[in-house]
Amino acid sequence: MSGRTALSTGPTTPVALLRAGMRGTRPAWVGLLWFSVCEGVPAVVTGRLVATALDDGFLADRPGLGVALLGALLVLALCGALATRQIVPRVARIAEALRDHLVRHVVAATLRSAVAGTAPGHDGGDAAAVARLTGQVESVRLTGAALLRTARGVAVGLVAGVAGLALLSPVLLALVVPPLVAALLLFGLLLRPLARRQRRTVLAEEAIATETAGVLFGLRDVLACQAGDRAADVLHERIDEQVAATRALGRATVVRILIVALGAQVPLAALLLAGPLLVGNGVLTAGELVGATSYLLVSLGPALSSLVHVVGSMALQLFVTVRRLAEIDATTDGARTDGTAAAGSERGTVPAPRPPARPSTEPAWARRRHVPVRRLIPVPPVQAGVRARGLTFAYGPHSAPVVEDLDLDLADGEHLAVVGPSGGGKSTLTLLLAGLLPPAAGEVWLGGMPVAALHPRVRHAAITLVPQQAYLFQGSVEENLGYLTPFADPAAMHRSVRAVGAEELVEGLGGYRGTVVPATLSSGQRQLLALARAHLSRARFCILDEACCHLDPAAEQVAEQAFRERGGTLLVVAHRTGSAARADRVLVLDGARARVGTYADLAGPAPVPARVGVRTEPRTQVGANRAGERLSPLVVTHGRDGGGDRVGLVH
Amino acid sequence: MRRPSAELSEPTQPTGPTASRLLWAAARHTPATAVVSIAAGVLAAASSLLAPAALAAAIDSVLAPPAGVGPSTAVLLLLAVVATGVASAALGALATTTGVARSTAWLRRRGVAGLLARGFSGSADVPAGDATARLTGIAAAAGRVPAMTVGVLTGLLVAVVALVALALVDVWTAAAVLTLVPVGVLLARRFARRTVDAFTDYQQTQAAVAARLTDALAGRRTIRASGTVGAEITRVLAPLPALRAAGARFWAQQRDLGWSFALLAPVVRIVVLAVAGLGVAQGRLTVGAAVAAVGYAELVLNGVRAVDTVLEIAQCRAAAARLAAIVDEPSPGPAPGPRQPGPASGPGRARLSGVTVRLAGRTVLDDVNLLLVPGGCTAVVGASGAGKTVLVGLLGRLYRPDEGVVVVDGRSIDELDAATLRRTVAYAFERPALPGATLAEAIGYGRPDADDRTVADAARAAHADRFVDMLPLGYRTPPADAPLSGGELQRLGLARAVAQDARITVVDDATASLDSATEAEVEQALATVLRGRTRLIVTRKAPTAAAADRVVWLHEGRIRAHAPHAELWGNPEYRALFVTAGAAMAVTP
Repeated sequence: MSGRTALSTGPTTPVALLRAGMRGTRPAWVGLLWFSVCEGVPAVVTGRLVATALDDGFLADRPGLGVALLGALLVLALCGALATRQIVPRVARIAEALRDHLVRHVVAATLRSAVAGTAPGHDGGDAAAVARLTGQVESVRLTGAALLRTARGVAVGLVAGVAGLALLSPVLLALVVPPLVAALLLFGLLLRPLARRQRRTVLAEEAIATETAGVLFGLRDVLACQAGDRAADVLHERIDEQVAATRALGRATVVRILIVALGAQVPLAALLLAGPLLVGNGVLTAGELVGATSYLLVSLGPALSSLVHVVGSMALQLFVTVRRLAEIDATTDGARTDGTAAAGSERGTVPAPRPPARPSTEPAWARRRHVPVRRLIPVPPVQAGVRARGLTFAYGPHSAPVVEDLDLDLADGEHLAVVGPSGGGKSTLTLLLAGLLPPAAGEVWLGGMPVAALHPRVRHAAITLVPQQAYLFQGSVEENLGYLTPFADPAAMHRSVRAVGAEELVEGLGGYRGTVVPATLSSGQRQLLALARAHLSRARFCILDEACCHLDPAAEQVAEQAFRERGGTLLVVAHRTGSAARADRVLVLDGARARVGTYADLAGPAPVPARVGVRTEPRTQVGANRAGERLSPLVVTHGRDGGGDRVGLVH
Repeated sequence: MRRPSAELSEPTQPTGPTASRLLWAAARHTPATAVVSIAAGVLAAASSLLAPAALAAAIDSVLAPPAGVGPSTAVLLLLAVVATGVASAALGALATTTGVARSTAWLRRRGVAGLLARGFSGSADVPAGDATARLTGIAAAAGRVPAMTVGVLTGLLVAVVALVALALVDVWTAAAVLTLVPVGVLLARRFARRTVDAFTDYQQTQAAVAARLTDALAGRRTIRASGTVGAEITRVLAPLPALRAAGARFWAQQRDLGWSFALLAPVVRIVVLAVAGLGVAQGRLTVGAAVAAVGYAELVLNGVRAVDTVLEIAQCRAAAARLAAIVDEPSPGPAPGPRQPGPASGPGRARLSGVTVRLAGRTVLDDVNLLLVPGGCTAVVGASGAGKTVLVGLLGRLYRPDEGVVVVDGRSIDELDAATLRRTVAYAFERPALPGATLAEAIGYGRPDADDRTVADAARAAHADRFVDMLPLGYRTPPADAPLSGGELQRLGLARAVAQDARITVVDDATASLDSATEAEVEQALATVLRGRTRLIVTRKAPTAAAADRVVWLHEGRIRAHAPHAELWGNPEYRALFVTAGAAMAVTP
């Protein structure tokens, strides 16, 4: 768990994100400043040297001196270029540090919110997250670097221009500075509307992307409704808004050009209009006049124009992008990130039980902050009997409960199968039992200890849940199998692989040192490896949530048998009837209703309903008391839990 | 007729005449802005070309003032040139921005039209994510090509004219510039190429991080269950040092080449100054002419910098080619004739005659003949891959027959316009997508004239009203913001089909995610609402098949049997098609 504090992913401000990204780059900044000054020196003296070369050299019949002075200028330009050369690595260091931090931020925030969420992610969402990583972070890196390089150039150009003019003749300042200052002030005023328009174009572009993705990912439905025209109309609206936004920004650009003209061209006009007077009175020499025009044209003009461009578009773009990156965490649904699953498991604390169905309008962080914490149990339970009482869960404050008031008792070593239609709450139940989802009401105990109060490390070591989507990563077979059991004994690993029937697969991958490339494996092969991994874990309570659904029935039987023989309590969300038939008992979950019994009890004596799943018998038939009676052969006395008198479910 | 899909997804398509035609059409789409931006560009170019000469004359006139008071004509001329330059730059910027925006918008509209015209079956070639990228970033890049081309052309033109002007002012200076500029061009080209190499490296490492993140996101449930988020973050970030190293190489090249390139401008400037200065000393040039020489040399240098833009145009043209692929791709199958409104109502009799559908070279449906009687309920069953979805998709033109016809109430559906077809066939899917800005719009999506009442009635019929009413914004909730379970989503899809009020309703496994009690309620309600309409139901549940009048058993693209469920039930192969065949429990599929 080390290094986690460094990767704090709470909602943050763009400024905080930028500041954190700049951490440790102070030397680079100092170097940047120093070499910028060096870079500016040639620019400052250029006008003076050119003026002298003309006045004292070429115009004074001493072309040798003129060429020599220009040669000196060449040497200075070389020095300036060398300074520029030193600047790039420093800019790079800052930009790379910022990129590193942003990549960490995006990866950590994306993964955390994805893992904390209970709903399965959709491909579009995942694609967006990855796009953020590659697109937006890159944009910040490159814009940031370009901004640093240009902004520096601008500062150097402006300072060098003004200083150089002062060196030539202080009179020039009177001509140049007032329009320049006026231009800067006007630009300052323009900044806010410019930012608004910039943001409007960004949002318009995003709206197009969102709407397009919506239509294209739902193309089948759009076309099935014969609503292609309707979808196109909405898209056209978004496209037109983008045109309007871009044109509004374009009009602001015109103002930018006029401001640059005010700052750079008006002084030139003033200089030339006042020129005859100044030269006639001997205030300016011919060389100084040429030097001054060269400053205005080569230094000040371009500098002002880049300033307006840099601040007016690059900086705004950078800020808008960083702001969107800073928002990642906030985009997660608060109701899904709170509770034991997210906050508690990572910080070693657990929120005290909260009233159920609390409105989720409050952001997750706010709730975390108010929650009082208590100490967690740092030792694992001795045995693995599972007991649940009054378990209730709903995905939204107003949604119908997925699991409602469920009681369940599993003896240590028992094998329970869960069946029911999708959406019936099976996966939710597994999450609740594994302590991964805080129930709205009720509590779960493992070996007599409340699961919610177990230290997350202890809880993860005691309970292994294998979901339907097997997770493998690019790495060795060994690394993948030892995911839950680092430093596993190779012999034990081999035993687990053989037990679940993955021996051939592992051999095919080149043994334990072979490489796993997830994309090249079939879903079934992936499930086999995930099963071997879970089998190897030391958890005493194993939950297989349709973890064998891609295996053929024979392979499924082998794998399930391996888990039965492995010892510990086993809960299998069954994919096939055979899987339910193998279990000691079967729990049928259908909506918020449930019943429990042996496979024979549930499948055999009851009449086959006319329509599958539509209950023809009264629900009370499997009420607690009668279920206990009816299922008596299966009742196991639950040692310390003392829950042996209740087997079934109550509703 | 169909191009193989691999060709379409090929990232490096040659930019053929199609891309050029598309870009040309995009440019011509906004003739006014194009003319204005070209005119402004020429004007700006002319004033930038005149500026050095005007400046030279102005400086000379300042240094040797003519008799009389007030500013000299030369100075006034320069001011006029500068003012024209500023004005034309501003006008050009405005026209160019508008032109780019309009070209991009035009390309996007064409792309939208192209994608929608390809139909659902044609969309398989371009995955939705890819298509989205083509309509957003790629269209934006392509939309810039006309304006960039104009910019580069005027830039190069100015450079050439500036070189001529320079030669007219002073042949020696021009010669000096001509020797130095090729070096600059060479450097710029080398710079661009090597930067691309380093950048490719960097992008590959970045893709490695992205791939790890994608893997981890797909395994979010395992990661959650194992409490290994921290370890996963570390694992995803493992290539970060390599990324930094690749980034360092990129910057090192920027440094080496950017440095020499940065030196080019001052060197040219100083050499020109020296040559011109010697000319002044020899009396060959005036001071103003020397300044003009420096100015023209700058313009030539700007032309050299346009090399960068040329490379950028090449990339944007490649983007245009990808866009052209979706705009111009003809839809598969015979071209549909003109569409007309058909009868507004009818009994809902559908006939498929000799229908064959081939997708990606594979025959999915093979000479299928089927008659759906008005008001009848037909179940479609078959193993996965048997062609069930394609069969039911034919009715709503989601798939087009390569051979054969689909006729509803005496009219080929290819002849019907969208409005008629909408009232002819409605679909309810197992996992519906919900286009529309609000839930009300989503439910009324197949019924443009739907009012609140129609929407609410349809929602009630599909048992979708209760959970929608519980949402704070009710029917005004955007679908993306509504926390919907699979079953709730499915019921909204059913509500949409009900609201559409079509003669034929296709239910594509649309009650699979409902718990059995809700399913029974929904089916009962639907039976009431859809009474008397023709129904086609794809199912994997035996009771649903049993409830239908007849069952179509599809096997490898052919109809193996078309008979009542009871007649087929004796066949063990038929029984094996159903998820819970023989079992009493509601075991999931």
